[in-house]
Order: sequence, then C-alpha cells, then structure tokens
Amino acid sequence: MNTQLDALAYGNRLRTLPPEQKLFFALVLLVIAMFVHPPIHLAVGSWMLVWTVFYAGIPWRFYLGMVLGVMSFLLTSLAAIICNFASLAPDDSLWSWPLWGGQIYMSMSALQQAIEIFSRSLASTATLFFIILTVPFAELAVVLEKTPLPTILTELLLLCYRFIFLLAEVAQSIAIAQQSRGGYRTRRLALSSVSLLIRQLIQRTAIRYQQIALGIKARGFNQEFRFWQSQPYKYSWRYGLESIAGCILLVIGEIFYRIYV
Amino acid sequence: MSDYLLEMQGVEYTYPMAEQAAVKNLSFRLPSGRKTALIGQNGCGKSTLFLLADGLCRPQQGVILLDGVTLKFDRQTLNRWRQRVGLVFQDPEQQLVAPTVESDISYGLCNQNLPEQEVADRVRRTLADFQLTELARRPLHHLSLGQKKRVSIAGVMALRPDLVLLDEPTAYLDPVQTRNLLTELDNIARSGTTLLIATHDLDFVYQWAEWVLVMNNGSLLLEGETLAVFEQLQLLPSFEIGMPLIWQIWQTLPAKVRDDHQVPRSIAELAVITNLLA
Ligand SMILES: Nc1ncnc2c1ncn2[C@@H]1O[C@H](COP(=O)(O)OP(=O)(O)OP(=O)(O)O)[C@@H](O)[C@H]1O
Ligand SMILES: [Mg+2]
Repeated sequence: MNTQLDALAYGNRLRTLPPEQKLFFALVLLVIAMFVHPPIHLAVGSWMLVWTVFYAGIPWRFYLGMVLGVMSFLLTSLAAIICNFASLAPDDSLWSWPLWGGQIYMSMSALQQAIEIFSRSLASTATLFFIILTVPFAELAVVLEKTPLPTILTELLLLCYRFIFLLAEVAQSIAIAQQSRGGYRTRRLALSSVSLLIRQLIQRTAIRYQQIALGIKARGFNQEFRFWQSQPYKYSWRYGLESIAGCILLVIGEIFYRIYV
Repeated sequence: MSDYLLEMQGVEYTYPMAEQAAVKNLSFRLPSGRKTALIGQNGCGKSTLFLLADGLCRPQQGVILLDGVTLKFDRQTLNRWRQRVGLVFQDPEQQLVAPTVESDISYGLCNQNLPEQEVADRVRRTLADFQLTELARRPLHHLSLGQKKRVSIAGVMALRPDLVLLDEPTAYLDPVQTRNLLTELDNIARSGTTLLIATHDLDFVYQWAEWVLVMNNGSLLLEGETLAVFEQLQLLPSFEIGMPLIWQIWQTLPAKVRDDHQVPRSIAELAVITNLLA
C-alpha cells in the first residue's frame, strides 16, 4: 500500500462528506459505466477527474501518474485483442501484414471491441481512483461493517492495514540505515544489502509480532477487535445535487446516443 | 483497600531461551495512591517487572499481589487484573493497534464492553486531556514518535486503572510536551491513581516522585521515600546511576548551610537557599 495515497485520502477536501455518499455515488457510476457507450464513458471519466482533482484537491501530477500507470498496462493487453493472426485476413480488416506465411491483421470489430474495453476501463478506473483517493481505508471499513459482511473480515482488514504500515516503516528504516552507511554504493553491494534487508525484515517482523501480541493483551484483548470512530460528516446538498443531476444527464446522453448513432 | 497496592514476593523470571534470569528474588511493596518511580541501569529488569506486574509474563517463582489478592493465570482473573493495572510500553508501536488516533484510544474501552455513548464521551475527554483533539482522526502511521507516545499513554489512561505502569513516558517528548504530560500525570495522581514510572531521568524522579524503587541486576536494591533513597544511594558509590542535579548542587554548599536548611526538592527551593547565601 502506498503511503502517499493514504496521506491524500486522509487530507483531501472531500473528507468531510459521508463515506456512504461517496461510495453510493461511485457505485451508481460504475453501474452506468457498465451499460453505456464509449462517449458516455469518457464523460464519466472526465467528470470523475473533476471531482478528484478539482473538488477533492488531489495533485494532478499524482493523479495523472496513477491513471497513466493503469492505462499503459491496459494498452499492452489491448494490443493482443486488436491484432489477430490468420492464414488469410478477413474482408473487414482495416490493415494487414504478411508474416510467417500467414497474415497479421486488425479487424473493425476487434478495434471497436478494444475501444469499448478501453473507454469502459477508463471510466471505472477513474471512479475507483475517486474512492481510493477520497475515502480513507479506516472509514471504508466502517461502512463495510454496516453491510452484512462478517465482522471478523472487516476487523482483519483493519489490522492488516495497520500492520502493513508498520512493516513498511521497518523496511524503510532498515533501508535508510543501510543507505546512510553506503550499502547501495555499487550494484553488488546493493544486491547483498537487499538480501540482508529481507532477512532482517522477516526476523524483526517475527519479534514485532510477539511484542504487539503482548501489547494487545495488555490492553485487555477480548476475542474481538472493536473500535469506535467519530463520524463528523456533513451531507452536502451541493455535491448531492450535482451527483444526481450528473447521473441523470449521463443516462439521457446514453439514450440519445442509442437513438441517433 | 490495603496500604500497599502492588506487591511482589521472591519473584523470578527467565525469558525463554535466555541464559540468565532477567528478574530474580524480587520483592517489593508499592504504597497505594502515591507517585512512585522505578530506577536502575539499562537491562536491570525494569521493563520485565512491568510485564510481570501486568500478568504478561508468568514468573517461574514467587507471587504477585494486587490489593492483597494473588495473581492467578486464568483468563478471568487476568482480564480483571488488566482492567485495574494499565501498562504503557517503552515503545509506543508495541501497543497501538487501531488505524486512527481516536479509534486506538477507544480500543481498550470497547474491550470493556462499555456502552457506545460512554466510549465516545471518554474518548473525547481523553483526547482533550492529552491535547490530542486535533490529531483525533489522523492515522497512526502519520504521527511522530512523540505523538504516538502520547496516544499510547492516553489509550491507557482512558480506562482509568487503579495502577498505571509507565515505561519511559517522557522518552521522545519535547520539553513542552514533557511538561504537559507531567501536569496531566499529576492530575491523574491527584484523582487517587497510583503511578509507577520507570525512567533514567533522575532529575525528574527527584522532583516528582514520592516513593522510589531502585533495581540492580534483576532484584530490588532499595525502596523508600525519595529523599531517603537518594541519601542511601550516596552511600553506595559502587552502584553508579548518577545523582540528581539539585542534589549535587546541594552537596557543594557549606555544611553549615546544609545543617540549617531542609534538603531542597525543586529548583525554586534551591534558589531560595542560594539567594540567602548571596
Ligand atoms: N525478550 C527477551 N528475551 C531474552 N532476554 C530478554 C528479553 N527482554 C529482555 N531481556 C533481558 O532481560 C534483562 C532485563 O531487561 P529489561 O528490558 O527488563 O531491562 P530494563 O531495565 O527495562 O532496561 P532499559 O533501561 O534499557 O529499558 C536484560 O538483560 C535483557 O537483555
Ligand atoms: Mg526497559
């Protein structure tokens, strides 16, 4: 888990909105994205960008980095869908190239399919990013607790969340200690430093685990992990209205698309 | 309630796989309702004593009593024991479990099955007492070490135990936060809670504590009123843990002055005496 991502989720400007409101909004958008056509996908994606970057105040560089990361991964897998190989390219192929006695080609239908997948992924990624970047994990878990999911699951998620950062901190502190003593000067040194780091991490994690088990006992562990959290959220009419109006517009847009295109 | 809250008799504990006992033949009595300090060199067994006192380590020998009742190691006794004895670890990471500050403070309260409203009230009050209200919704991994330390102390104090064991509470704290913590500890002590603080800060012990335990090599060396303990420590030059600054300055004053005045316990008291000299 990325610490910067987490920091942004805790510091974003939409933090005071109830997480339920944000989650419900995102859920509706995801459903819309499942049924609509590429132009509406793009509308969903750009609208989410407005929410994430302008309303929530997530730095656009960071956001762009995340989107590009996912997109580059997606594009490479799309290449496999677009390009086909057969002994003879079909008639509707847009483009073909002879190879190994057959033809590698790109068909119209495959291209359409690829565009569809790409735009839908773009819309759903933007929606997911909106949630990840504006709802801190601990608050997400509180919402999960209200669902019929077993509480043990949400408890475990919360504990994992805490320990992931503990581990990350240990790893980071070892790495910094090694760096400060020149452990990564050459490639060979770096290699042995990394292996030392991993061994140390495992060892220290085991010790940490024992220590934390003691700490949890000392605090009266009672077969269950239960916490209380204040919920100083304010439902916002302004954002509520925008999300409802926007969703209606998207649906209308889709209807027009189906009628006229 | 007896005069002594916590008592150990002939306690011995060896960590698994360790060659030597960390604590051996340890006996002492802790008077109830007083500000007490535990001092001794690194590795003398202070933290181990705390683990034993909270029932987290099971001694191989000896008995531990709270209010005259012997500690037994069944779950029910342990649960009740740990409701009365709070332990703040040396390393705050060791006891912080929840994702955010306020939820961590609520953890021990939720374990006691208190009603939600009561939990919420106590969390809010504790946050205010420890100047943590602004950090309430921050995740723990975004805090500095000193802030984590305060959260770990607050999480224990929210439970209002009868006895609080604090391992190096002022470690990592800046001077302002140290002063705030001491004020808060004084408030807690005034409400009748017994505090036992393990520390290396002898100046703090000298000015704050009413009762002092000195450990050496896993057993008790001295126990008693603060002044009496430091007087005896001075007669043990082979046992090196240093002396409080006020005490050292006091020792440089002429014998006649020392005969005429009581030993000063604070900078202010010392200043009054030295001003008289000038
Ligand atoms: N988990 C452990 N396993 C084995 N030996 C241990 C363990 N923890 C502590 N010890 C040993 O037990 C002895 C007492 O340790 P303890 O932590 O109680 O000392 P301390 O008085 O708290 O020291 P400090 O002032 O440095 O905090 C030391 O010799 C230490 O090396
Ligand atoms: Mg210690």
